[in-house]
Amino acid sequence: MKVNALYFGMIAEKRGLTKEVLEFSDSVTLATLKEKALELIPNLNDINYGIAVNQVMTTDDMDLKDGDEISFFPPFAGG
Amino acid sequence: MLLPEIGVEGQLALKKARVLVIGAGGLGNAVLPYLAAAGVGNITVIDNDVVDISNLQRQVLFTENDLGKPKSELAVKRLQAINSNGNFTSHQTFFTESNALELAKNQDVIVDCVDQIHVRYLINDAAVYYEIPMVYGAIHKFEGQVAVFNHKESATYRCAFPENKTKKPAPNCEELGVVGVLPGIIGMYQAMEVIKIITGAGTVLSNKIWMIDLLNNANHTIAIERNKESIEISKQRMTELASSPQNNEIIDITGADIERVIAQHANLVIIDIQPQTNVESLAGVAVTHIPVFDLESRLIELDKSQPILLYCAHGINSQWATQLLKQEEFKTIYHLVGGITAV
Repeated sequence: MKVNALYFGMIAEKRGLTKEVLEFSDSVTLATLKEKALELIPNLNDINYGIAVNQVMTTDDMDLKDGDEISFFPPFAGG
Repeated sequence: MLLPEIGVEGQLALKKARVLVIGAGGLGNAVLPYLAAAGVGNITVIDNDVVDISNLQRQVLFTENDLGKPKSELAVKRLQAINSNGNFTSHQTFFTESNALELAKNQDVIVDCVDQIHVRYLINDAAVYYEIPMVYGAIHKFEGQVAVFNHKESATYRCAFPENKTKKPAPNCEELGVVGVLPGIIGMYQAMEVIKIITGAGTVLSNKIWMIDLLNNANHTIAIERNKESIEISKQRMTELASSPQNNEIIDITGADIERVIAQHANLVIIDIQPQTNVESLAGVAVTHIPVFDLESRLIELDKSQPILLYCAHGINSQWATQLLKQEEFKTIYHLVGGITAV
């Protein structure tokens, strides 16, 4: 299955991309996707960020569906 | 007034409204003139900074003639020129635990235009405590975020971004650079939300965070929810502050004060929190180097009863660091405003 990952702010910088399609051979949960993101983005856990599935923020684990959109968004500091 | 959504009633509501704008930097420079021009009758501007030449690419209320002058005062002068009937007040100070309750009291809306995450949590907590909305704006290079938090019991900043003090402080515009147009767009969006909140027009951007990427013409809205734990943290913090004013203090100084402070305290500890530094001593006193990211874990090396003078390069990270020392109950903390590069 495929999911669309969107990255914002510092996370996009660390990844060098604002979005990408992540492909998995099997169905995945959000927790598995987060592990994948950690592999792809060095030091991801150094910064504070939220996760949204299909534009709804979530803190719980859940099963993902093919085509889901997963956003990784940190709070911005600048003013 | 011609717009039926606003009308005479809306215009009168704007005139009566009391709005606290925290930060007169990039966002504040966009929010403030549009609020004054819209007829918001009472605006308080808080900013501790003075104008630097690097601000002029985005802080369009200021000119080359204003370099070195306090932003809060200059902004208020501009607002008075826009609407001479307005009641506009400036405070040249940071928004801190010592003054948050006093400054946020009796306000209808707080507009968050600051450039430090730890101050945003404090603004959020004050908004929750007084049950008033916080209009959030934040920027990162070419990207911006806008949200209205705590509006009629909507989600708060803590609900969206639970505080995690083990994470690194996010860098701000002075450190990263920012495209000058961005705070203009984000600040104007904030001003529009303030006007909607006050007049009741349209739908307020609550329980959502709106994000825009100007470089790629992309925008996204993320739905967020209020959660009880976050509200409890805010209430508890502010209730504690209200019941026990802290007896330790942060004293802001400039380069000209360093020698006097050193003469006052034989046991003064000077801490340089720049990630890298070649400063070994200040006015003959040895400097201790603790990089900002190590500060929390190395606080144990310091004696809380000894006076501390703390600085960084530009006085931005040191704001966070001095607040940390204050929370950890260090007795006397001197903060070098503008950092070592201003000395």
